[in-house]
Amino acid sequence: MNPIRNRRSITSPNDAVPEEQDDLVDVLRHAYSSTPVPQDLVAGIQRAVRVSASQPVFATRRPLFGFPKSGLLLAPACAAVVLGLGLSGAFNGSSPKSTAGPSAAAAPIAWTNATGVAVQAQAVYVAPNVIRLTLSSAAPNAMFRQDNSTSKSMPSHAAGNGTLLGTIRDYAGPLSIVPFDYPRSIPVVGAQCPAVSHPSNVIRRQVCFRVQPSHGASGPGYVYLVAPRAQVNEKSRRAPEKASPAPFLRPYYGKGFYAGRSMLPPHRTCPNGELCWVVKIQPLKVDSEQSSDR
Amino acid sequence: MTGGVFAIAHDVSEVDDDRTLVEAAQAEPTAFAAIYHRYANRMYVYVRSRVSSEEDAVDITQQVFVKSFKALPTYKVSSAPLGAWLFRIARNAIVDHQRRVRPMTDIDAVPMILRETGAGPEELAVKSEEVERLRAALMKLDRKKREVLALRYGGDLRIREIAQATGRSEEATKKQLSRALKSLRQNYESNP
Repeated sequence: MNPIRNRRSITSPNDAVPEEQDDLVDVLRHAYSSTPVPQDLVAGIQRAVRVSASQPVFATRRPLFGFPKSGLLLAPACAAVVLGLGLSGAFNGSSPKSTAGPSAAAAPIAWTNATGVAVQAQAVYVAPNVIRLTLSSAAPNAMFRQDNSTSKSMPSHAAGNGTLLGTIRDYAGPLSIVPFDYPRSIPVVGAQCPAVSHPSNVIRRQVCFRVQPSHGASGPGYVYLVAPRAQVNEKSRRAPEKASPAPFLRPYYGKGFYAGRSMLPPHRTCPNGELCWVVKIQPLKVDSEQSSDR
Repeated sequence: MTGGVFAIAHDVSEVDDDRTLVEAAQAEPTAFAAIYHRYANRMYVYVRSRVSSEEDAVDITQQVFVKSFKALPTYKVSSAPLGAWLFRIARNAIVDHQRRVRPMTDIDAVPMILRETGAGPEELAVKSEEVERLRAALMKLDRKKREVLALRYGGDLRIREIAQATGRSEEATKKQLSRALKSLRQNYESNP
């Protein structure tokens, strides 16, 4: 944990009230300033905010996960903001435009689709067991956004060939990935990632997933993450048998968010009675809903 | 406390600094890093005082900066100081978060290390009974008063920034801060 830094030490007389002369205020101020700040707060943002694959805003201290850097291919012309504390990923693009640099292991997913449009994806941890994937591109009309409606006319992110790798951190329970074939074929292969040592010395389980879009496929792409029933609503404290992931997910997809929502009720698509989360990636037009302050 | 011309000059300088940072980041997004480094810790401390877990606080802190990063092209320093703008985003993010999870009404906006009985004296280097009294005094404050204290001492915001972050006038914010501190002292005294 880091001590508080960058605190202001000078107060203008216009910026004070007489009651602040109270000694109690010093104790209160000290109580706040004694709040431990996680060392990886900066690292989290380092991982989270990047402007381009070739020029990260924040340097990365360490690889996010243990995939070989040589397996990551980046499209430097592709600009995107990647939000992904605790979860990120990378594509093994089929149309390499550059090779990975030293910080590429933490780079956003970069991918060139079949039409030659550079695309980046973001994989966002939104809650235990839940991820959100977003595809985006600097190219006009190549943005991808989650939407409830079916997109029939827009080009699909799946019209390419790549492998999406991602990790979920901070989820202690088991999680597996199931291959699926609904409604369009995008094979998903689960793979266990090695545990990593967190700065707090807590070993956290990571689960990898892999999405391999079918070459030339069209339509929205889906990623199913599956967790056993008992693990599903540990955070929302609801009875597992009554649980539906939908209310758990819905608030996360407001204005400014692009991808992912629960699409189907539990155990309609997953084998062995497990609950499924479906993260849907659906291409739409360039969004006009830039997230902003309300 | 430092007063006089220097302090006023400091205010002006800080506004100019923020303006410079914003303009730099609007011209070159990589410059956003400087904004982050200036505000990240203070943001985290404030957010941490309002949510129940470290993970949520980290997530929300991150969301605030990602949202602000995305909204930066349309942001004007003249409309609100940078700190006020960022903390307003944070307040909205916290409200969104609290809609999703059970709000921690009992300990909302209480410094993290004062939340649990028995915790804090070592970190605060004050007697444990004083910590207990301060905790009790804080708990008796209503949420709005605690929040203004959290913005002031957790977020390290100026009164003007608090006013703009919360949508109140400076004068009203001053009064609220005064009332919160008076109530805190009264609660503290009433629980010897």
